[in-house]
Amino acid sequence: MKKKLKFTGLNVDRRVTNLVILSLMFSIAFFISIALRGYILENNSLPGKEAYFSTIVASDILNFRENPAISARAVPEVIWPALIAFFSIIFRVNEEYSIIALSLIFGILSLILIYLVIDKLGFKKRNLAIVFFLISPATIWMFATYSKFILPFFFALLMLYLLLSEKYTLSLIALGITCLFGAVSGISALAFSLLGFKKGFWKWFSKGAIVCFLLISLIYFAFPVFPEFSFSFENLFSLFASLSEFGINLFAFLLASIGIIITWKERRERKELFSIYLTFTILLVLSVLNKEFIFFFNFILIFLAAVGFTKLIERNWASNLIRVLTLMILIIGMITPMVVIPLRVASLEPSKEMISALGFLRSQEDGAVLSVKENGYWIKGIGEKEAFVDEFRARANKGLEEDALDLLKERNLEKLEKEFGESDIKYVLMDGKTKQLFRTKDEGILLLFLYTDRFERIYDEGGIEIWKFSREGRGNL
Amino acid sequence: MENKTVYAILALILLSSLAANLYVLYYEPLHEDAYFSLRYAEHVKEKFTPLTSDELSYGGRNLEEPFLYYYLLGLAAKIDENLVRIIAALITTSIILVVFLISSTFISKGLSLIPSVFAAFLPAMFKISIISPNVLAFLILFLLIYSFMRINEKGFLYLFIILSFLLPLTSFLSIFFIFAALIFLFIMFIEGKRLSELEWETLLFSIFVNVLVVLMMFRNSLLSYGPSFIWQNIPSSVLMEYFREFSPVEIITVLGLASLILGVIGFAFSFKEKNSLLLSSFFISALVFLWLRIIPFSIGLILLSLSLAALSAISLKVLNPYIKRTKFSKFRDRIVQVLFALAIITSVVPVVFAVMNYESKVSASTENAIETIGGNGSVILAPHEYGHAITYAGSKNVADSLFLLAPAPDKRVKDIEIVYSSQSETTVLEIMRRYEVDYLVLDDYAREKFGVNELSYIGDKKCFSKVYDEKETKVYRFKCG
Repeated sequence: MKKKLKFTGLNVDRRVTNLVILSLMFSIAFFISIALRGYILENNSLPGKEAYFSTIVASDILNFRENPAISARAVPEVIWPALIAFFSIIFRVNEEYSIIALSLIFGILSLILIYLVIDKLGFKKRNLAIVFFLISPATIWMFATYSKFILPFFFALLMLYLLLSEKYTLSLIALGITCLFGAVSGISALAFSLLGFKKGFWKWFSKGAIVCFLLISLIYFAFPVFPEFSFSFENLFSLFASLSEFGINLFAFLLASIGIIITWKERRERKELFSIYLTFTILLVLSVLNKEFIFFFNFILIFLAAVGFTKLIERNWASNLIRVLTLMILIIGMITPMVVIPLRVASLEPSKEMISALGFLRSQEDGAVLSVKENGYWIKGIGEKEAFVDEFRARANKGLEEDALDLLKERNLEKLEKEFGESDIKYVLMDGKTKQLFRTKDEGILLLFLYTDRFERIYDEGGIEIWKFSREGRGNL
Repeated sequence: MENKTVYAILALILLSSLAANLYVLYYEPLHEDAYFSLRYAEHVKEKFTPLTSDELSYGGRNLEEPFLYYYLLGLAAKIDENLVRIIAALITTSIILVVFLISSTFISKGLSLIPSVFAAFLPAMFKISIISPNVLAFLILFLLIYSFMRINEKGFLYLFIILSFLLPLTSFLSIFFIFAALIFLFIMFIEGKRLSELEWETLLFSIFVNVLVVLMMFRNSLLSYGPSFIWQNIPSSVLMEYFREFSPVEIITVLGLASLILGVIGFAFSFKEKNSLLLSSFFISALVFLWLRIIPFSIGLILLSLSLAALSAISLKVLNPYIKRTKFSKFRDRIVQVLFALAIITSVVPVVFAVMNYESKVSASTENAIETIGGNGSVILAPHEYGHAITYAGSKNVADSLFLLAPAPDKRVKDIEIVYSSQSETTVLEIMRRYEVDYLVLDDYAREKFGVNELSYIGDKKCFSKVYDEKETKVYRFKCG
């Protein structure tokens, strides 16, 4: 549909205008979380752990350094950093700028794809669905923390768009690329593909399932660490609490339920509804079992929420007052995460205190650092020191986290000296999380800090301590 | 029965309930949880801001409490301190009026007196603090039912809207309402019944309001505990006493035999009508909440009792035409009188016993002891039930009954138990030092709870000195901190 724009006099497709406006909205929302962290909280680091993992791997790729993820052939973990490295080479920017730019670019591209997919699905309120997508906690979380799921989410949408456009071979390729990001992405993409159900679909689906199965098997053959599936309240919580980290919005869920209830009557006339219900159910169950599915479930959820919201607006209300109040509450419920989640993302660790401590560590001589696994990526990314354990290594080597905890709980200096020597550990980083492991001030390694001269406290600010281990000294308790 | 007589009897019921409540509030030691309400009300009176952090509770912690009730009491306290207790008693009494109004939508005003008697004399009401937001929540919950029943009439829609906003600002029981509303919708769907457009919209609206406000109000608790926040972070050891197991005899005593029988019959016949189904949804929800131990036993029993009282109106509605058709029809008035008498006997007698045997865990002498030694920010170690009485006196407690967002309540409650029951002085000293305890309270309740007569280590004069000894209560000052 073409519409003459008053201010330019140009004939522009209305969809283009809408997409430009929505992309601008996305960009503003994207930069708000960066501005909140950088200017208001005065923290110029990347938010969270995941972004640091990606930039570290990208940096190691660029500098041809050895990296545990590359050595372990962890394909799903390396593609996103590889793209960051590639972007850095092409545009001659550092990895931090690359990850931000790529997140923004793929965010806008995903937005365009969602718009086109919803258009293909025949739902008229595309703008509403996109707005719901933009303000949903999972979306804000995914793009503001530069998650590794940005890329598979984009490819899953691309696969769906190509499938709906009847470009079967291309959609199969897109599905294959999505599967390279692991089982979560592959299964989600297959669930998405159900939305493209029409005559001859099962033939395509069986090919897609085989491609997925082969690729995922290959990936896990190279790096045999499987995603964990467990029904837990924590998953449910992330799923239902609108104010938690990357959970879905409860109001979106309520609206989606209304959408399902209202459209249920039309299910016999509109067969495509079955595929929507099926995709919704599959991804809902999977999201409860593994919270990473939430990023994909969010798409079908916001679609159904938009349907529910539209039906509520279009309904003939018996009381206008109730209509206004209900819609007001729904709008408040829907936009609350837009305020809360960027704030939450902005205040994610590493804190200013941690950055300052790691900045100090960077100036020290080389040596590995012992701390809890949660600090691992920052020790490497900001402190530029090798961490004894980080989350990736803990995942790849199940016993490593336990080893780190054992070392922190160790009171025997001789044993500790031997272990430290083997792993080249020279520093112990004690932050709030690490200190929580101890109930008293003279437990585990704390006893050695207190009563031997082998450990020297070289940093103590903002609740973070760095202890340097020396091989010389009395050592006796 | 003439309307005048009905109103006179109703007034009598209301007055006797008010008298019983005022008697307990003025002549008996305060319920251990009431101290918190009084303290919050005082805070509102002085500062007019919600209490979001408490320096005295757990030695300093954050709070997430719906505040409406406390503001009401705070405003009352601004006018006159006595008004606080009077308002609390009036709110409790008003519930009877609402049950009467609900019943009168099913049966005649005369017959509605029977459910009112059931609602007026709830022994369980004397097991909880009358000065509690939950009591206001009971009133709002049943007013919501009443306004929903008459939603098509002028004014009731506005009442329903206002109450929907007020409930989540009053108490944790808004979660109960959300659940009950969903149960109602579910049963309506199963039974194939249709709600009018307005009913459907108002119900949907009230669910949304409650969900939104609960999410906003308990944001930090949700982030800390996930959905399990509905169990309010209660330590497992406390949970055992807090959510007592169902004992059939206890239920019959607390609910009242007549109320139970008529209520259950009413429940069985309630599925025919949408209005009565709403009451049944409350009944089912109360059962589910008790079964899952989401609400304290006494609160659950009150909800159950009030639902049964209102449901008994349905059974009276059903039984009335049956009696008319039988040979007993000429004795109809007599039967009603007998039922009324039965209602009074089975409800009033347990209440009289409950009032006579009313006991606060914080006895008068312990309250006096806490007041005497407290007030200077010192730390007093006592059973967690005394926590609010301690903070009300201006001292710090080690633990109290507000577990949500409290720092390590499980450990603290266990530590308190160790202090009372341990034979090892070293362990006790370590705990006392950890919490920087200044005073230790020992009274009959603590003796009974922890199964001790005297504390074995108390003979150590270097660390403990007796600073209070009256009746059964002793307070020791800890000097080795």
